[in-house]
Amino acid sequence: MSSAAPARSTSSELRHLTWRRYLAVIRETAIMVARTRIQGMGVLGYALTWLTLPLMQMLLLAFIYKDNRDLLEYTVVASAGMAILFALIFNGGEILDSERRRGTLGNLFLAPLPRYVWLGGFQCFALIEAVVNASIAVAAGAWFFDIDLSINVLTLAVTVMLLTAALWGLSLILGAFGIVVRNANFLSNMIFPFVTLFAGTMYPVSLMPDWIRIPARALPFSYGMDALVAALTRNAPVTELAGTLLPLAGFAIALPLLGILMFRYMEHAVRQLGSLEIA
Amino acid sequence: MTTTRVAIGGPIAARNFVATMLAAARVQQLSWASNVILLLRRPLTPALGFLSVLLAYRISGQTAVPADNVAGFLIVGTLAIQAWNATVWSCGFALQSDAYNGTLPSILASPGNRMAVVLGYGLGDFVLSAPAILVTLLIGFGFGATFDIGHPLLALIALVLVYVSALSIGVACSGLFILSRNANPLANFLQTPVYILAGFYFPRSVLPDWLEPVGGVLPITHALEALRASMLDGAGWTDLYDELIVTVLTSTLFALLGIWSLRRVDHELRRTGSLNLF
Repeated sequence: MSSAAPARSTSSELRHLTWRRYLAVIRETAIMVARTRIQGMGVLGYALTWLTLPLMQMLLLAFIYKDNRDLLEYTVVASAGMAILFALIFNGGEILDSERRRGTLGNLFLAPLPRYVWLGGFQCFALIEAVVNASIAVAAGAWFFDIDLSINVLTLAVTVMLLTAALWGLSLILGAFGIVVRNANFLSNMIFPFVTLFAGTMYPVSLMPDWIRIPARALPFSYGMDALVAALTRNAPVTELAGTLLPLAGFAIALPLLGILMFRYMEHAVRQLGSLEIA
Repeated sequence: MTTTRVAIGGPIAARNFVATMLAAARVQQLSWASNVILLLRRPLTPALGFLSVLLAYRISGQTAVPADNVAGFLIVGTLAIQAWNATVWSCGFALQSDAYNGTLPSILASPGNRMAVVLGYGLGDFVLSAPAILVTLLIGFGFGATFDIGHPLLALIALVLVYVSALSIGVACSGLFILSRNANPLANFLQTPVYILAGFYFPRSVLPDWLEPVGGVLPITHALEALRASMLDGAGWTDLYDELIVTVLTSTLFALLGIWSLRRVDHELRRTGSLNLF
């Protein structure tokens, strides 16, 4: 008994140390990605190319909806959703592709760490970028078009958390497929127009014809968009949005699990073949 | 002696230019053909973009833009988007993708003409985009697009000019893309402002007064207006004379700017012996 206590203590300390190490790797990976991106293009270049995308998308729609105040308001808020979708779907693939191009992807798979640690670092950066992008888009849109926001912070935080978890899972799935097809960016580019059609980033899904609305309800994005709009413009409490947030929570659990399984399967194939060229 | 060299060198240089361009076009086609995703994406992306914007118009209750039917108006805009994708992404991105693939130093060290390589990539993409044009037109008809083409040859010339004008912008950007070392996000950044300024999805008349003339600087704006007038309003040669001339002139200016910037970049790359110019 007396010898077991120190052993437990040591094991707990080691676990604690490991978690601290993991968190340090996530932090350092995120910083490395940010540095690579910002130093490569300069701060201005980075801001112009990465931070203006949802703004431009919003402007494009604003000219179409110029005579419809409700749709214009929806577009401003949906541009935040577009920012989150874009950053999380594209960044994972883009970063994996850059590692492949630099020849460092293989080394990452050999690193004595769970893959989700460095992938977590990539996504951590993507998430920060998404939140910054979304905030800029909504603030600028509200200012340009004189839109009154009525924000429920708790609902907004819950929505962003659930949407991010669901999209993180999706980006893992895309990342796994992307390694198989050797170009995650091509894959992200191919699915993004489908996502745009069904996500409700350009219009409320509830106003769409059945052939859009029914498939859209089988995907996480439209729930996320509905909840974002309600949280940002109607001060809607979490309880009022249970019908929207519960399905989103389901996706936030299922998609990361599926993503982890797929990434693990892909990693197993990579290790068995000793090559990243698994297809 | 000089006369003899020009007499022999001229045709040989031209033949080399064309051969390099065709070889680059073939490389571009093979690189697309080797990836199923790219082949699928080519017709899908503009078709889905067309559908998304058409739905946006429909739910906002607009059936005409400004006097043309929405589907027809958007189909012509989608054809221009395909031209944009086929040329700016391939041409502008051309040498950048060589940098990714590690083949840029070989291209720069080879005695072939760099402009022939860039144009070849654009040509390869142009050929690949032909089925996508058909898919777009079919989807347009499926969603109620109507056309009024008075002069088919004029419409065809306007379509070719849309590609030529987009190609000239791609050529103009290629030097900048190499310098930035981030062609992908830069091309992404350029995309939506050009869609807005050139009126791909809505008429330029909805733009604020101060913004409308900015789009006029771009050759593709005039080519697109000529294509719309010839495909949707039955416009004739005399109606579009000015637009066609302005398209040719602005395209030439952009192409010359591209040739100059590529030469500058090429010179600096050779002088410094490095791809990292800043």
